[in-house]
Amino acid sequence: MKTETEKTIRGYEIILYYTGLIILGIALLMVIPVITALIFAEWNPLCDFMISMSVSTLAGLGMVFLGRRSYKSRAYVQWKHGFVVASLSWLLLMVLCAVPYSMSGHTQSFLDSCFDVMSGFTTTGLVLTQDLDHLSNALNMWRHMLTFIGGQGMVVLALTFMVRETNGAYKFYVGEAKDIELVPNVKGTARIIWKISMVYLAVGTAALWIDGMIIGLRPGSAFLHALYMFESSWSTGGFAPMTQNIMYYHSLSYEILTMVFFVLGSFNFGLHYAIWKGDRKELVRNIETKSFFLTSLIACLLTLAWFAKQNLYPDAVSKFRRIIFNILSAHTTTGLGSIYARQFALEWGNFGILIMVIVMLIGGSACSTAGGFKGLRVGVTVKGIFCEVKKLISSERNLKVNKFHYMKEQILSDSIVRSSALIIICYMILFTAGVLIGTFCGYSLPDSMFEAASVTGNVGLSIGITTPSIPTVLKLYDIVAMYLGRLEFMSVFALIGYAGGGFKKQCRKLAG
Amino acid sequence: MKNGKNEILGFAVETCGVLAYLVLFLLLAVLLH
Repeated sequence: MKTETEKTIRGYEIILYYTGLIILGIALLMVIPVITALIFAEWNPLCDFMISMSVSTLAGLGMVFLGRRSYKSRAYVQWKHGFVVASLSWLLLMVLCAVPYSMSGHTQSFLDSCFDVMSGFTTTGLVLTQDLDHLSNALNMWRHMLTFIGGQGMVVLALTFMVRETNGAYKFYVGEAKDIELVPNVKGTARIIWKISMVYLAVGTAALWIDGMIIGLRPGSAFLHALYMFESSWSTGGFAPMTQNIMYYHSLSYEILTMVFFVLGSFNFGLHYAIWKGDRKELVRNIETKSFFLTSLIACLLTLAWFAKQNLYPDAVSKFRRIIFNILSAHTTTGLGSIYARQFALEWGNFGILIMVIVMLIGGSACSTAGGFKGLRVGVTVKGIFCEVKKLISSERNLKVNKFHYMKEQILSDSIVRSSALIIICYMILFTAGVLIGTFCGYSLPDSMFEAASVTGNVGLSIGITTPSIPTVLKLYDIVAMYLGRLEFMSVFALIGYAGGGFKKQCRKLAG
Repeated sequence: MKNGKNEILGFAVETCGVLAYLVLFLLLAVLLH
């Protein structure tokens, strides 16, 4: 009995220690908006961020202090600890990072602030913050930083800079739905992910900066817009510094640049690494790129054919900017929109909305910044179905091993197909729950489907439902759906199981 | 040195690949107009 209690205490201590470290890491990042506020002489936001930073630092230090024994005794980190740390730190960070939002006065309630933070972390991009056009530079910097960090993974960030040893590090990393090993050392993998992102950050910001100046923005403003729009595109986030989103720039070149970055951002980090290492054939052999190419091509063809009938957009360039941009933005789960939200409901028709719902649910690649089922799971499940049909119609003596290419040739085993199908089913249940809640709140079926797919797939496009006036139950569902969709269910289930297990033990103790 | 060259080439291949993919969609928009 005593051993069991010791185990429980140690488990909690491990979780507290590592969660505290992640919180300290994010508190440290608040230095960037603090510096931004100082540069632009924004004194009120400076105070907001100083207070938020102090609160987060105190919370992080407190947790590290409470869990210090696990560090001293070098306690063994189990899988459950990794999952619980990842899911718990996302929840706590949502609350802590919402403090500067709430203090800025741009949100109606603390729940709205939490909504926007979760939307940023999960790279969704839905916004409840009001009067975006007059947000301080410090808060804008913070919003876009959150989405950039959330895309690469906060745990990945903490691993890179804060965890000294790799004991159990892989378990935190998998807990955040990034289960690829680019190099045998997990810290090395985290560093590669950051290296790729930082190279693109430098090149992408420079390209958008130059383009911004060409289209008429002042150099300083063009730089900030470039930085924000790159962070938003690369992390497939969907935030923008202005209310009009990408439409604010009225520029084809700006749209094309952001499209390049969000398509690249939706690729698996393993794919980037393989190509950068010299294995360029991976780009055309990988099951995810094949799946993404095929589904995006079919979706664009069908939507273009639909709009050819409608005669809505006057020329091919307009079609490219309004249809292809939005389809790819939805498919890569970015959420930058080149038309107003209500135009989807009023102009796209049920067919257009249905295509958008499907591509939003499919999403980008596994181990990327994108959300949705992921191309890998769609590819594996579809291939699994084809192989099953082939097996049924071929001779019983014919025993063929089916394979798929994902970084290397892999055997398409029943367990891989089953786990992919299970995650897809979980997404569909979450999506259905969203549609039910939406229709219950009085919204139409197409509108509810669009919005539910957008939050489940971490997309961020809206059909006009998501405003500060939506019912609280819908806000809560959205937060949960964004969180579950981003962490791909398992970590959150582990957190619930862990908390439930602890609660049961306490009840048993009390009962005698 | 070789690593750096490979990385720059990889970066170029990725970016040009995506640009080519977008051009394909632009062509589709022209064809289906």
